[in-house]
Amino acid sequence: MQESTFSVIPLLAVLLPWASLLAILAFPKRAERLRLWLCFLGSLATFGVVLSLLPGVLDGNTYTIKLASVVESLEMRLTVDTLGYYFALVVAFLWMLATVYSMSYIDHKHNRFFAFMAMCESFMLGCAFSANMFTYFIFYEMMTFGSYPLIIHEETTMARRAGYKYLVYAIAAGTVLFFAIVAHYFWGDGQLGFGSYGVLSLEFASRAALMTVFFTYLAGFGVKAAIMPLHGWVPDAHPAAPSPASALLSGVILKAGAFGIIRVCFNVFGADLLRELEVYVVMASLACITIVVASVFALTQDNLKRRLAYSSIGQVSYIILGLAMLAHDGALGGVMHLAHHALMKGCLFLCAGVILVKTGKKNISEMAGIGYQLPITMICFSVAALAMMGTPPSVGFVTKWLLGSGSLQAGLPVYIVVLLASALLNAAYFLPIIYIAFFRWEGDEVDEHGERHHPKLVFGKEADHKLVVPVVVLAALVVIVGIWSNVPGFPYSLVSKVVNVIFP
Amino acid sequence: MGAWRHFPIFMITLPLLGAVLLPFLGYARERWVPYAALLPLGTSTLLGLLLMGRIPADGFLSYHLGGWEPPFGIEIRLDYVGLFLMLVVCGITFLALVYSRRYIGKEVSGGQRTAYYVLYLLLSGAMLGFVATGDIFNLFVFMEILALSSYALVAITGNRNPVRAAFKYILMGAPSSIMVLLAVGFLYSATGTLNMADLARRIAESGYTEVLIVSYILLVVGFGVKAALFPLHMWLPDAHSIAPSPISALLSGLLVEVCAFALVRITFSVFTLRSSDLVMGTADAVGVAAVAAVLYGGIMAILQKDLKMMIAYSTVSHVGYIFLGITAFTAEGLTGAMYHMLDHGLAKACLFLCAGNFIYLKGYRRIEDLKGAWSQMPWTCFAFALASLSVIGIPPTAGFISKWYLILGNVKGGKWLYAVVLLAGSILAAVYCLRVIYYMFFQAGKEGAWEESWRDAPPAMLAPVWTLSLATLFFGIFSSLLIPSLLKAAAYLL
Amino acid sequence: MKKVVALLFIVALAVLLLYVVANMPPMGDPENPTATHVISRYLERAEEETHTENVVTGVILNYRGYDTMGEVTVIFCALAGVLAVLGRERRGVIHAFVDRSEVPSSVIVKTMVRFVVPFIILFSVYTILHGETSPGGGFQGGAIIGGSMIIFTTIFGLYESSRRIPLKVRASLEGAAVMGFFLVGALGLLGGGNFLTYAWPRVARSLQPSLVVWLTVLVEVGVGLGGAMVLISILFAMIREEEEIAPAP
Repeated sequence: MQESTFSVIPLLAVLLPWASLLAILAFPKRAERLRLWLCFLGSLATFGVVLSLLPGVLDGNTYTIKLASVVESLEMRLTVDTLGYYFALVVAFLWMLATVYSMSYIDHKHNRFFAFMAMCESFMLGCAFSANMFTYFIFYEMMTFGSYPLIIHEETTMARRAGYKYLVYAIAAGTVLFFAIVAHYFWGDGQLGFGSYGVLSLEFASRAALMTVFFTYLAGFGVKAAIMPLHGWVPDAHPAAPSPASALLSGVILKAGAFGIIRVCFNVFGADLLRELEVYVVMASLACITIVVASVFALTQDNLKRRLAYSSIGQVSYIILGLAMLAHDGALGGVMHLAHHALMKGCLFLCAGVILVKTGKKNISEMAGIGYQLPITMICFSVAALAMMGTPPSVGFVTKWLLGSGSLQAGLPVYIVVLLASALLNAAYFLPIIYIAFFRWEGDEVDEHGERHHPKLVFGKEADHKLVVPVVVLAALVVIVGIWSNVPGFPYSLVSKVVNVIFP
Repeated sequence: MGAWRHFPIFMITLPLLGAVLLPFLGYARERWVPYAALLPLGTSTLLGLLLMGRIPADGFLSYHLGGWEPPFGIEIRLDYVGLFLMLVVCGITFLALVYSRRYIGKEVSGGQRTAYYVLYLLLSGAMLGFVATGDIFNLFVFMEILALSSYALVAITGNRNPVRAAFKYILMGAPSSIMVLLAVGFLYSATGTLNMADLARRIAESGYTEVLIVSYILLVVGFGVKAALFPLHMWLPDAHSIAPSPISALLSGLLVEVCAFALVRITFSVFTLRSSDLVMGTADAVGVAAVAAVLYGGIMAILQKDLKMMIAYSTVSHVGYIFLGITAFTAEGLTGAMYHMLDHGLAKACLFLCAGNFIYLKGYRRIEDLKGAWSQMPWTCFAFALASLSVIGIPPTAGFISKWYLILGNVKGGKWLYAVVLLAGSILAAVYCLRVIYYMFFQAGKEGAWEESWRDAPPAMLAPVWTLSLATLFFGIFSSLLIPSLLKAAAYLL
Repeated sequence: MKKVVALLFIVALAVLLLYVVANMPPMGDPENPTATHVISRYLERAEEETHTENVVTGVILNYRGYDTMGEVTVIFCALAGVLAVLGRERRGVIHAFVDRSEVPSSVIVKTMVRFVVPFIILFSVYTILHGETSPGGGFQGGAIIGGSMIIFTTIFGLYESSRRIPLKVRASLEGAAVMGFFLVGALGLLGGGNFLTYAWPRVARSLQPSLVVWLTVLVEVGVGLGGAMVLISILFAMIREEEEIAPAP
């Protein structure tokens, strides 16, 4: 990696969310509204700080700051490189919207929820800015435990059970990951840093050793990234968590696992070594299985958030599949999908939240005619859902296009079949929702002549603005980012820089 | 050579002197005893800190008592690792003593309070002397003081259960002391010397292999009992859970570790090892016992209903960690073991003191009683949670750093299985710690379990608890203060 | 089951120990490691170095004084432990609940004890003070004093004996042994040596022998008095405990 300049901004970005925590502590319980606004300001300021780095990052600069070190080779260091910055931008943006949304959505124990939200944001940014695996692991583990209170926030039996499951999976995964890092440190000659072309090589360690490292990493991060046999906690955690938390879970926290795998593939092993070890075959097949099977599972779910959760499982594996292609377009599509999926799934989960708040309905079968009651929300929902299927012009289409092109570059058109199957299945489980919402209505709109009428479209009475605005913003971005992806700060502008280096 | 040369002996004798003088104060002004007791320990801590920069990581300070050169007189031989542990001892005993005033004021009846502080200072001074000494018979002498005072401290309330637990402790402890004494005698008969450094030289030349083998085994078993290594741990859960909480903190957080450290000394400084098969054989056995300890302690801790009992079993498990670090025979492993002594000491002391807060305020001992405790005792609960994270080994607490080095050390030593066991141990730790945290924070308490008024423990009890829990965080983040020197010192020991 | 395991353990330990004893250096062989290494210096030079004719005293109080300091701390610790568990009488309270009646015993026994005890104590003083030249010393002397008080207490009862040696005296002398060591140790530091140095470097060489002797005697006296008081206090605490549990009818 090139020389990095010292800068406190990454540290500032990681520390700023804690200001919200201070706000909660500093102001009395009575000043509830003031506290909430301060929390929002905290997340806004964080986003602003992250954004301020954009010009420099686009110029190819990297910024670094050392936090602490155990010994020479084991240090906690924050570095802003293009890839990390890209992730941080997604995190900060989605988090800001989720905070706005939560201000209206969360109706009890605000303090706990917002405190842990802020903490998790800090840890996520720490993950994004980590300069080496050691730092990444530290922030990753803290984020794991920090997100537990978000999942069980409702404190229902279901939430508790989901939280328990989450912890079991997360602790087991953390342990495996820990082992992976020790093995990495041991066989990587004490090198835990991220290199542009990977740091491990067959010079220092045997094939079997590197395979061990890779698969323990894959298993460790795979739990968060919900690769198929390890996905068990996801479908329980999402419906149990409050909607903004589910949006963050799907949009960002699952991605922390995926981002870890990206780091492992790009910066620890490097494309050449992966090709040499032939581990990408396993990765790709796991991803393909996950994409198809998760979509099939999604079909069978009636609970909306559960269906969305299964959809997330499948979608995150797009990223893994893109990486496993080991081709320029594949990697580009996979990594860009990280942001794309965050936008789409964030929007969908927030819509589900609006539905829940306004009508109390959780199951799709109960949602007949809901599009008339909540037109804006459901339009946004439809936009995001169509994008998920890969309809142009939207971010979903960009992903699918790039992945398809990547599989041709890799010379494995079989992936296209998987992608098409997935698109088909996506359509099969999203279109019925749109259909039910807009084109089927319950029979209670019967007039005095005994005739059934369309329910009336009611605009302007949807819900609190704090709920609707984030939904609309996300839906708009799903389209805008899909069309102008090269605008500075949008995924293509950042990701292409990284991928062009690795796959020239 | 300046006056600092004398600091180690001051650190040891000041608490002992304090112990002898306290009874006088006890007769005159009993109320002042808890404050006066702080004085010697505080001074010792200060002296230790002043000494910190003076001892190089790859050297030692040798102090000849009475001016007699080593094999003839007694030597205090303080290396970096020893000083490190002495500071841990000083710091934790000081904090637990601050805590004691309120707690003991309630638990122990008037006449015995002075005796409590006397024994407390004796125990602290003995641990310091035990760590610092370079003479194997002297090691035994200090072990006797610390064993005797800890028996009495366990039983101090004089009620039926504590006395029974203390008796159990004595039943295991006294034979172990005798084993150590026998081993020291055997070693003397085979070498004619008691000084550790001299012993190391003469053991290498000695022809009495059988005597040496048996004395090593006896030492391992003897110190193993005091350090509660797995099959010899039976006394620990009772004694540690029934003793007054500050004493539990001391026993679990320090005594056990100090005794494990004695084994480090014996293994690395006396039986200069790796050459002889006997030590390696015993070390393998110790490794197996440690594996069993990690798993058994963890599982038993999960099964407990009593909070302090759970913490005590967790100690059994963590002793296994320390021994796994020692038996790795790598600098990293030994560093991990030493750092684990620090962070386990801090975290365990903190957990026991938190448990003490619950007992002090509400008399709650069972884990189930803690449901919803957060709403009324937030400070205690948060400190508990933080210390638990260190026990589990979650970054960025100190527990993570020590776990890192323990595992790395075992991996470097080629002991992959042990590394996996360590990981399994931390999963078990997660299960038993998170259960308590879950009850505290995420469950509603029973009706009337927590009165409405917001009342946490008094500041005099919270201050030490929070110092300890923040220290686990501090030493996690700023581990670079100690780790490089410890690595160097460990390499020097090996 | 438990008994079988215990038995097996004991047998195993016994076999192990017998095995060691069989393999130890032969007893009394002048070529033993014990006879050739450290001990030779003690035997040859103890008198000139420690200025005590009794080599044993020289070793335990001077060469290895630090160990002995530890040992007297153990004794002090034992007392503290006993008092911590059993509790100690408050000032002046003892007489309130202790059975005042004397232990019924014949006049002959009483007179004999009354007559003998002073002599025992005198002998113990001799033992203590003469420790540095002949077998004996603080530990032995202290034990003799303690023994004499045990005899006295069994015959005359707790009330009488606790009047002879009141709480105040006991309490102030219990730590005497440890304090004696600390005093000598601290003086050694002031004298320019290390802790527990008897022959102060700052003092003229010619004065050193008598200085060492005086300091040795000081430690001996401390050990004797302290040891005796600890024994007596433990005895009293135990008797009191017994009487409290089963009060006289």
